[in-house]
Amino acid sequence: MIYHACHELPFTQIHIVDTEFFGDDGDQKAPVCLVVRELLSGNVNRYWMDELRQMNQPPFDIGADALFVAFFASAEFSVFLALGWDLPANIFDCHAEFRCQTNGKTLPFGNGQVGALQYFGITDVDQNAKDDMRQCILTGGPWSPDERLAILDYCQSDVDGLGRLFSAMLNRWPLKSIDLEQALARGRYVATVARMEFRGVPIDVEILNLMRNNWHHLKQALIKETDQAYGVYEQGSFRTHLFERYLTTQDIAWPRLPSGELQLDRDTFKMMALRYPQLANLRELRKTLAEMREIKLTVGCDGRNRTLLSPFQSKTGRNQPSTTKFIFGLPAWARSLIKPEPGTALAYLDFSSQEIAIAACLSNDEALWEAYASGDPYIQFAINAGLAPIGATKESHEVVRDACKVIMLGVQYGMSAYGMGQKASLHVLEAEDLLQSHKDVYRTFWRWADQNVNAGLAGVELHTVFGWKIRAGKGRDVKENTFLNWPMQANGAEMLRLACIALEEAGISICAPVHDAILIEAPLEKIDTHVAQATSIMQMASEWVLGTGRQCRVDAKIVRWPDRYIDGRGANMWSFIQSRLGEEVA
Amino acid sequence: MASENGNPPFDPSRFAMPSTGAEEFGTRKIRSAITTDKPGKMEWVRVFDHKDYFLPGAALLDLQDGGRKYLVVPEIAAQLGDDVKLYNIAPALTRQDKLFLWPCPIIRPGETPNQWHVTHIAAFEASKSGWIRMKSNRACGYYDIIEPEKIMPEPDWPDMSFADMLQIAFNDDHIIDRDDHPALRRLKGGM
Repeated sequence: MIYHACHELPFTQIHIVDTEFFGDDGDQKAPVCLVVRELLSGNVNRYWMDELRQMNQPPFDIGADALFVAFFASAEFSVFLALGWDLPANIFDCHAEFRCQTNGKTLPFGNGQVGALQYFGITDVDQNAKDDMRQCILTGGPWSPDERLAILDYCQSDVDGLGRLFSAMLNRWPLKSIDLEQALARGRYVATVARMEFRGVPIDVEILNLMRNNWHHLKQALIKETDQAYGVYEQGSFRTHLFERYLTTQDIAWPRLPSGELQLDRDTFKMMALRYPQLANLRELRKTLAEMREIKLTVGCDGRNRTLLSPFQSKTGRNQPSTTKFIFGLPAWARSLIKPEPGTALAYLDFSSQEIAIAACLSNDEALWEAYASGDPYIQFAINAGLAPIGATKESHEVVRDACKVIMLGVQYGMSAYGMGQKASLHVLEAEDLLQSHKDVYRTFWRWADQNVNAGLAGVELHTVFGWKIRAGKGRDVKENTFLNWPMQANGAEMLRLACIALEEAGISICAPVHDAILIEAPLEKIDTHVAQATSIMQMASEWVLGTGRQCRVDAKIVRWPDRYIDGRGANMWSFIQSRLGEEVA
Repeated sequence: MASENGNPPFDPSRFAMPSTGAEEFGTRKIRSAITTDKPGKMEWVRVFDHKDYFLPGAALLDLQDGGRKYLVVPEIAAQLGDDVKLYNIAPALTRQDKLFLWPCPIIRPGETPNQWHVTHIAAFEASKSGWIRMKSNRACGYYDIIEPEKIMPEPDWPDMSFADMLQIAFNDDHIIDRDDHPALRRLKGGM
């Protein structure tokens, strides 16, 4: 069955919905109005906030026979959740689907609703008028009768536009049954995102406020303290000539730009700090100063960090939340602001070596899967490549294992032998030999990876197991490494999405997704049970992507109140900040 | 456990597509350059040991100008004396997947064996069954043959006929099959 038009879809009702709401960054949203058009009958209903607040459930069918259509539906669901409503069974998010169909293409008008309409040649939407109305709504009222009418008209205009967009999308990209199922799964994830955004991450507001009030002094103190080991700051500013001098004294060969100047971008610092651990604190300081000119973390009046998670915004389909408003976007030390509420605990669960498992299973490389399944893919690679004897362990062959780890992770990103050598402190010839060994040992994987790269560069549409797509668009600067790494990243993102859906629907409370991990929350007495249940569900989700009988390992770290979350990479800086804050308060 | 709206538990396995979509997109590597030379001293090599991929007693002319060698047909080779040398030729691969034709010298009946040739032939033979490196040992006047300590995987032999390999290595302009071939004219000082 292929669906080309709305009336062909297997639903008795199709509701096109838009809502308006307001609320400060970090707070749960307050509903203003809702407009719904049932597409098959054409009936339109408009509801103002006082009517909505009297309803226990949405004023339309959200059951198994009805389809809910919205653009960036998590926004609509923030209103549903604020009103205590259930979320629909079947969700088609036009934003997620538009992203999926156009991923990799150049979109001259962007991927917002107006941009999507313009993509289909629907140009009678006035963006400026929309912006004016949004400003009016965000004031939070009170609104005059005329303003109420204007807001409802505005909301309905979005519903009308969305109906046209939905029809145009179906016409351009007809849905096979499997496509529809996959789109509905993405919609289900958007509902999960709304729940995560609604719940937020518990923050130690007392410390946060202290930090905010003293941030300027703290930054100066951080520079003074950290720079003692480097001597590269002058009057609070990083000085390149001083850094050059430091590098000379440390005998560190630093990458340079073609102009001869030092390459000081974030990735270079990250790579060099891995190779020269003495640079780690300087790197953390630079990241802190760059990203936390001021503390923009958005925390609601209930002490929880909330921001848009922006699902499906990256090429891989991953979420792309703000790096300054989202707690997990901040430097590692700042994550220690995360603290469970009294009587509760948090748990951080992540997939272990997820990319290797995906690469092994999707390429059907049994040797690579055996390496993953062994529990330590890096030492297993060393053994398979003849670099370590059978029975070698992380402890017995640490150096060769570390080198093999760099190679195994680097190949997923198309890292050069030079880059691998830099990262693993190997001579480039040693790195070349190790890379060759990887190609020898995991030949099936490499054939598969080459095929993906060749097909991707040729403009063939690649897809994940559950239908997230990418296609090199005309005029785009396509890179080999994009298509080398995309299958692992995009399927990894999908694995986490499926896990989030299943976890939330099983009653596990997720505070936030974090790349290949999640942060969950539970009462103290239930956290162990929830972690066990969540682990099992995440393994099941990994099996959906990897195939029957193959699961990713899941690691869990529990933080019980009154402890706080600690990321080892930022532990020193967090301790220093706390000691300085103590002095400031005293 | 049912979800809040009464749906059955989430199970997407029925709409999985375990592929990337690139499977139908076949590619093959075009070998546009095949050299005819002994392996470099740093190269690990394997010879393809197959009767259909073996050219015995081939005459090669090397003008010593840094250019490619010429394959000389027997009738003309017989007229050139010591200017051409006879080799057994077989395709070989390096670990870096460089395909080349390996000319292995021949010791003619009655000829006093030259240790360079003897060890060269031994290296050629050894590389039919395993990876080797052939490295000149000038002090001793022969080639050292080096085998790896660990087992290295079998090479992926290209799906290509020997005739095609010869065609790429010599094209038409590097096969001397007439008396007025420019290479012969240069050899005779006619150019």
